[in-house]
Amino acid sequence: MNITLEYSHVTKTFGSKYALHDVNLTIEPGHIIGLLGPNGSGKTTLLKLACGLLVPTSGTVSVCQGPIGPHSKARISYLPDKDYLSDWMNVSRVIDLFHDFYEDFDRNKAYEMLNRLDIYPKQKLRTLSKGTKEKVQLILVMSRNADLYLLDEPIGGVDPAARDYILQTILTNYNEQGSILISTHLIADVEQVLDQVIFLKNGVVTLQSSVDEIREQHQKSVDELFREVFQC
Amino acid sequence: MLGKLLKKDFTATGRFFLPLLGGYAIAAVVAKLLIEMVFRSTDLFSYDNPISSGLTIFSIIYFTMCVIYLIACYLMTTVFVVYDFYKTMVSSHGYLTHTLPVTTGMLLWSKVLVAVIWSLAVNLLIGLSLLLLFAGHFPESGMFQTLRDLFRFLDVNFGTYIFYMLFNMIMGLFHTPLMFFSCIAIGQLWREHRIMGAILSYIGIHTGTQIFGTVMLIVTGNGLFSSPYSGSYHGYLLVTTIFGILMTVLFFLVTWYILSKKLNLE
Repeated sequence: MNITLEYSHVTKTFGSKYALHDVNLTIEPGHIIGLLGPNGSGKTTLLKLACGLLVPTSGTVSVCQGPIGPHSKARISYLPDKDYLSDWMNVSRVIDLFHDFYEDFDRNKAYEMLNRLDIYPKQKLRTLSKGTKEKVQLILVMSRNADLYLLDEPIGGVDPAARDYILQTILTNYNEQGSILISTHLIADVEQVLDQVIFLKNGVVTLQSSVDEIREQHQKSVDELFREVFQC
Repeated sequence: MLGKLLKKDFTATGRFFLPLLGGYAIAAVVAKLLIEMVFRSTDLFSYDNPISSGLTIFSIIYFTMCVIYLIACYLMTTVFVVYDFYKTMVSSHGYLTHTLPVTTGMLLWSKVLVAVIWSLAVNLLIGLSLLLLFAGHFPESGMFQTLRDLFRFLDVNFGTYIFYMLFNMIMGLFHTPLMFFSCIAIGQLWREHRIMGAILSYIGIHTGTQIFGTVMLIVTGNGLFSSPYSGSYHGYLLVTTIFGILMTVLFFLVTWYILSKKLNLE
């Protein structure tokens, strides 16, 4: 069985606080998976462990059956939930940077997407609005032909029209042999594109299921089930 | 991949260093022109001539500013190298740096080499500017003979001293940035207040190094209250050089270990 991403008994603590507790997960190729949970449930931590930005306290994370390292990083396209590009650069320089480092980066695809959004490649990042900067980051991530896309809150903090654009960009540009893991708490907006979901509550995986199974077993939409499970 | 990292890091740091070095080069050439004008004016006019004295006062102010610029160049080189490391390795831009398909060793080597090359460029430029400034005005005294006498007194061969000096200068180019990098990395082990952790690490390492240096001075008989003939300055140079090499390697290993095995980017 091909496994794109695997967490085996992964625990992550920050001081005495558990961010993740004994997480066991496998992600297979060809799926769009929603990583769903309220704020502080450990979604970002889970993604950062796969990118090597955090080291697990115990357990192992593997990508395409290999450890986290240069090889795994070459196969993962990661969109963090923060502004991570140097704002003195202009857009074309960032594209050159991605082209230099990632063999699977499609420069033409990136320029096409920029053109569609009327983003001028010579513009410095510092002159772009927050929303446009987020779109540039998304374009960079989705211009790669990666095995695994890890998208941390890609539609958080943007207006509904921008959400539609972002989801459309993700769906029309990802490598269909790969998988996408989207972390969000805006379930209603992403539900129609997901085929699997993972519920994360206080650092523990409480559910991993296909969207169809949820609808059949619970007779509910993912959004309704989420509201029931995570009711305050 | 190291070549690509170097290209990325030189581009990022060059936007600061190139104007800094360019500005200094222009300031040095102007200083040379000014010094020649002062010499010419005192040849042509008397010292109390308004042109000559005005030019002299202007040169003094200008040279004072050049010295401040020179000191700023030294300080800003370290400050910017350290700031760049902090920003791109453990701050928000670290999200890009640590997701590039390269090893931590390569990331670190790139930062170190960029720091070394810029420091070398600053030092060379400052050296060349001083040579330019004094060209044609070197005192014809027995300067080298005086130095030889001093080293004979200290029981050090002149050639040996030059070797140690050059070796320590080159090692210092690696030692200084790596010390700061390791302090920043150690600061990352703190759960909170990581900058404070880095500052405290620096104070600890700096104090420890100074204590070691002082102890070695005393042990090798070169202390303040030792007899001038009791010690071995050569021994002191040897011990401190070995200590410097070991510390430089240790700083590299500590930084590498923390960034590869203990990275917790928040």
